[in-house]
Amino acid sequence: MSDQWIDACGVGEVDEEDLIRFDHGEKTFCIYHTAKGFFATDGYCTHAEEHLEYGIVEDTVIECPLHQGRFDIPTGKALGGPVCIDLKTYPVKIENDRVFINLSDDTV
Amino acid sequence: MTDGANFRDSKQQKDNFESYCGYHQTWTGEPINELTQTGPGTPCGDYLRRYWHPVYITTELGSKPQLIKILGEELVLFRDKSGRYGLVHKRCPHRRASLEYGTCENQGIRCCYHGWLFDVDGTVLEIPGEPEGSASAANVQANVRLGAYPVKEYKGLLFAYLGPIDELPEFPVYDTFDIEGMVMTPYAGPFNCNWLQVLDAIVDPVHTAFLHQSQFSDGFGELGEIEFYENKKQRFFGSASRRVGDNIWVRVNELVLPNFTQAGSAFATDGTQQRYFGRSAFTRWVVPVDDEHCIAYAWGNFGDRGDPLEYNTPEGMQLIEQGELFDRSYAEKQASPGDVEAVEGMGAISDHEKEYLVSGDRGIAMYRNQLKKHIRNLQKGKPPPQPGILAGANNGSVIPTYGSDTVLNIPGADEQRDLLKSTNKQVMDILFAADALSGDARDQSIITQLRALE
Repeated sequence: MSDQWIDACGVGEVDEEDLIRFDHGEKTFCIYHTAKGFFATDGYCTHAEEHLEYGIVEDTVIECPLHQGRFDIPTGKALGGPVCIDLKTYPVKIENDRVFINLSDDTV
Repeated sequence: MTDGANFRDSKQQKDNFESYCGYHQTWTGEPINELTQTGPGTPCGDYLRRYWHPVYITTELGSKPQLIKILGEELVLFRDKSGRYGLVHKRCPHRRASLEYGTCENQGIRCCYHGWLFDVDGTVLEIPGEPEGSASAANVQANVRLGAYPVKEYKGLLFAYLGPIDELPEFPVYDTFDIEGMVMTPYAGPFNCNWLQVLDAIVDPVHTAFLHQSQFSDGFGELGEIEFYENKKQRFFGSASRRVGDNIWVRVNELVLPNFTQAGSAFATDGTQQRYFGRSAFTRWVVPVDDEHCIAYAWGNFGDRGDPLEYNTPEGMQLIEQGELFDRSYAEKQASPGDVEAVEGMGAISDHEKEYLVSGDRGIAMYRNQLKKHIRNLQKGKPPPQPGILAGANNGSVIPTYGSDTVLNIPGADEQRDLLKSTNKQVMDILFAADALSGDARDQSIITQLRALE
């Protein structure tokens, strides 16, 4: 499995129980800071393709700002209507107070 | 896989989607209580109380105390005979008589019932019915204070801070408080509905094109390309870029949390004539009276960079505030609805649960969720940011703002949407880049760069 670790942001840039948007090339992601650690998912909600960056994080759940669809952040699982397609997640590691996201194609 | 697939196929979902499905739809839905409830002790109420709000128009306060209601609190506003303003809880802490029947004295307000005199900060100054020096009078002095809030008079509006006094914030000063040549006239626009549905409209550029198309100018009716921006979790913009003949008109609406709003002009701009960083028709706050009423307190802005001086009248300011006069017959309201009809028609408190937002509502989704975050953070002990964080180091403490119109001569075809988008971006980039400047230097820098785009 190839590693493609990209420096996304500093750990201090994301408040606890919040998220920020991270754009890389043509793609866009969300970086989350939860009580269970940092996570990363695709940036767009799978329902109406609105960016999740203004969504609300509660514990480890992200709620889409437009229709309040909810996803489990660590697994990307869609938790109930109106969202039914899971969110793609990416591995994250913390090094020297920076958050890295792995964008390798081999990751699921 | 998830249960989601069943959601769409469920019998209930099918019944709610067929033709003539009225029978299956529920009538009631919850409001976003977290944002609509602003009374004392509510999370949003606590959040709003951390900010200065306009509560009255200075010239309308006479020599008698004035009963007002703000954020669900019944209060008495007064000016004592030495010219100091007080805003106090309505009921006397002695026997709960209303201070609206009191008298304004040289120092403070005197209750009509037993003559207790209170200073503007709530201190008991006199207890006429009790012997001076008595234990009873001493107990009052030691234990009783009338609830009071600080008041600031500023350019014809009276502002108050209803929060914890040890967290008293600086009074925010925006650049639009002091634009050369601008005539600022205070007005009050009352709405018979919750504050949130009035506030939503400022980050909703799409409604401007549909609701207001016949009220302001033909150019308003053109939808244009819309973008949304956010700044330091404290400010939201909607910009609309539309073509009017050979011109591109970029109009920027702005919301500084929690409730400060500006836009472009109402009547000065119709897209047919060039304009460079024309400023907002109003400098405005949406202030909750209670959960079913609010007031838009504002200055109408008149002059070359604001709206034409001919609109500097009570009727003119009603048109600026909501596109139509407030007091009209039902037939007139149906013929040409304004903001009042649109937002009051939702009900005293909108049942937000039954909304279905679309991409054009992104500004609304953005700011509502940011409000929720600030409210929840405050509940956890983290105070919300003040507007002052938007003032750069070089601005002193004056906050640069963006509500504006720019009309540039850039010919092109109606179908060239990309040209509208790129012009929009160029205009916004110029506005943002000038943050390090202030006052006239900032305005001139912006205006010069905008002209250079043509």
